[in-house]
Amino acid sequence: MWDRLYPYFLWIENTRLGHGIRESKWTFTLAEVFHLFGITLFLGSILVLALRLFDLVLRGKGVAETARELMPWSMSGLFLALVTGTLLFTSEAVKCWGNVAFHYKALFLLLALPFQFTALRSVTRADRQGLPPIVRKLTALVAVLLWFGVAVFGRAIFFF
Amino acid sequence: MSIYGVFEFIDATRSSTALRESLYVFPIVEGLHVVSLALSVGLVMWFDLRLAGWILKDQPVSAVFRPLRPFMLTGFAITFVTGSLLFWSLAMRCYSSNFFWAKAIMLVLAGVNIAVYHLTIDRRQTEWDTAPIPPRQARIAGLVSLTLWVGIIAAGRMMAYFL
Repeated sequence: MWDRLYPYFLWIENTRLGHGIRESKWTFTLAEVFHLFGITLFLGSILVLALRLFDLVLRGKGVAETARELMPWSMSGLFLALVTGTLLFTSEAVKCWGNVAFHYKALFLLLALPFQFTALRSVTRADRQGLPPIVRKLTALVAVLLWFGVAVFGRAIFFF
Repeated sequence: MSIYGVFEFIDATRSSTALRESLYVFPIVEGLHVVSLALSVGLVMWFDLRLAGWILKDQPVSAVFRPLRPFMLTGFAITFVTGSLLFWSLAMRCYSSNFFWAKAIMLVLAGVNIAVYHLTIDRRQTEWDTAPIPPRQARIAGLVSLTLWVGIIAAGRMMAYFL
């Protein structure tokens, strides 16, 4: 499958945007810095939400309410990470194409994103109906594992 | 021994060389350092934001801080140990990096900020624990912490890039 995708990765890398970022050292570095800001903000908020679903923190506040208050921060973090991540990817798409760590990162991202907006979202919203604790905890655990998987394989790209 | 001498000494130790040249340990330490940020800075920021009076205003400050503390401290322990190992393995390159010194100074300032907070305004926390907007000194401590961590992450990333 990856072989057939090669022309697309090559095309992305050769776009003007890809060239531009690659040629400018500062754009690339700044994109990396903001990528890390976004990740810290987003993963931190996912952790707090998971700890809330485990009933370990903020027990005085409902799950749905907590989620609603964290959402603007966590979505800003995710948005920042996705935008800067796309820019970084564009500038070295061909390298990513041949990078095992990137393949796993892509896989985890493709699982984590839909999980975030279906399972995790409905569990945090279903607060009042009172889902069984095991469902809430499992959902939180899977979300944390998926997103940390994205982060770990993302960092690993550099070493392959 | 001058500071340069200390760095040179560290860099020349066998453990430093071994770590620097290891195929697996270095990437694992590096990976842990970055990912544990989510646990350390990613959690402390919520407390900082509460201190600043920006979020979770209906929750007592202690209700945000106390349950998060064990996770936060675990995160900072991992970040600190892995960070020290990375420094140990790259001491000479750190010495000549401006970003390293910027990061070091901001880390010291963050430490001072935490100490000042806990030794002063935090002593009277029961008086303002449930206040939606904490007193000015506490708000400043929260915002200073947030700003410093943003700077520390930026300097750390830049430093790694230019090493």
